[in-house]
Amino acid sequence: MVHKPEDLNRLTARQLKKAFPDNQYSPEGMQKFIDLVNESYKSFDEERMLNQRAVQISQKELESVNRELQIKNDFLDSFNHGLAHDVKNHTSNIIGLISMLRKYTARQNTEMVKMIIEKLDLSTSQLTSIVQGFLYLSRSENKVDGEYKLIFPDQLKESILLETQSLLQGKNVDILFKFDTQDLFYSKHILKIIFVNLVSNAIKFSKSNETNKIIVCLSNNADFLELEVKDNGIGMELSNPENKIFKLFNQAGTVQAKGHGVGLFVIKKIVERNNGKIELDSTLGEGTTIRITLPLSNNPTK
Amino acid sequence: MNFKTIAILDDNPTTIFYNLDVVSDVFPESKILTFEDAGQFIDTYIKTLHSTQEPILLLLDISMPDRLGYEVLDELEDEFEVLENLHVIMVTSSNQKADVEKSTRYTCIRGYIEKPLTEEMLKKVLG
Repeated sequence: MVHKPEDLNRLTARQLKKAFPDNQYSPEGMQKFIDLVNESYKSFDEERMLNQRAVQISQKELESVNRELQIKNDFLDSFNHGLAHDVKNHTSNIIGLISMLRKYTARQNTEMVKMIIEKLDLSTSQLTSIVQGFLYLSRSENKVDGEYKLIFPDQLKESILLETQSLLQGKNVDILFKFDTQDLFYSKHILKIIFVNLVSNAIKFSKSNETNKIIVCLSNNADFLELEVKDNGIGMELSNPENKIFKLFNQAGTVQAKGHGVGLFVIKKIVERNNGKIELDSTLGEGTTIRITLPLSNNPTK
Repeated sequence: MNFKTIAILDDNPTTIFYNLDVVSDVFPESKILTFEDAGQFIDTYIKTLHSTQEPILLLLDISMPDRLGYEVLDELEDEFEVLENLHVIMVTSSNQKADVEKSTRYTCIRGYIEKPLTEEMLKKVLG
């Protein structure tokens, strides 16, 4: 042979040894050698193709994961921006009102002081409901959403009224409760957050010169529970309710719901996390109805 | 500079309540108009305020649900091209660089104030 064995590729050396066992050239040996080499190339080709496919697949996966991350990132960006904006606005109002309070206390203007305190109440309760919602959202996804206990409708009504009371000042609004639950085991915490946010919105969007009625309903059967808040307030024009009302905050004038994107957003996340669904119906000048259905099957105590 | 008429535009009624108090302390002689709704302000400006030749001060909230503060100015510029008598102070909830950079496009903007508004800031911006 022409080549020294140490110069040869190990596979070539092995194939040569197989084709020419006696180290002697022969036409049959040559044929066998060519077959062996051909075989090797074939399997190289296959391997290369497999490798290419593996790369393509992982690239595709990577792209889709990337896209998902990008969406989540954008979402968090606008979310943070909206949150910061909302919180900052309420905080600024509170700081401003406190400086007013100092001024009018010094002037002994009790009428004005009373009015400022009412505004402070309102601003702090708005800020509190935003913060509560976010505390809820910031909890780990794995954690059970509060404790699942028998719901007592009267208790629930009371806590909803307590948390929305400060918004009712100066408004002509009647709140009617229609709670008809049977052996409902659920997280009171979740129900409260949803109702307080929905009722707060309904109060904020009430008509200024008319008597407004807000009807708050809760009912259940064995499989799901239904929450509904219906008002006859100013309503909104929504060609695509799903997209518009729950679109994050009030960017570039897409949301008609004045500056209350945060509350609605919190509700949306809670409902999603509990596999429920939200329906919205609204007519400009006539009012808004929001209905939320939550399945009971995921309820850990059942 | 003195303003016979001052307009406050902000979607939050509590902010209006507070800003009105600050502004009326700085300009006790001025007539102060408040607007919760950008459309309403635009209408009022087009119909009445523009034709008065006296300078008008506008405290403009940047972020409102139906329009951004800049969009209000865009709409007014579409109507009149030059807003000679309008002096605008943008009232922001955050110190955003991008916002301030935008302001060079609008000759009517006199300055920016980060919320909450104070008498000192108002006087400082107006010089």
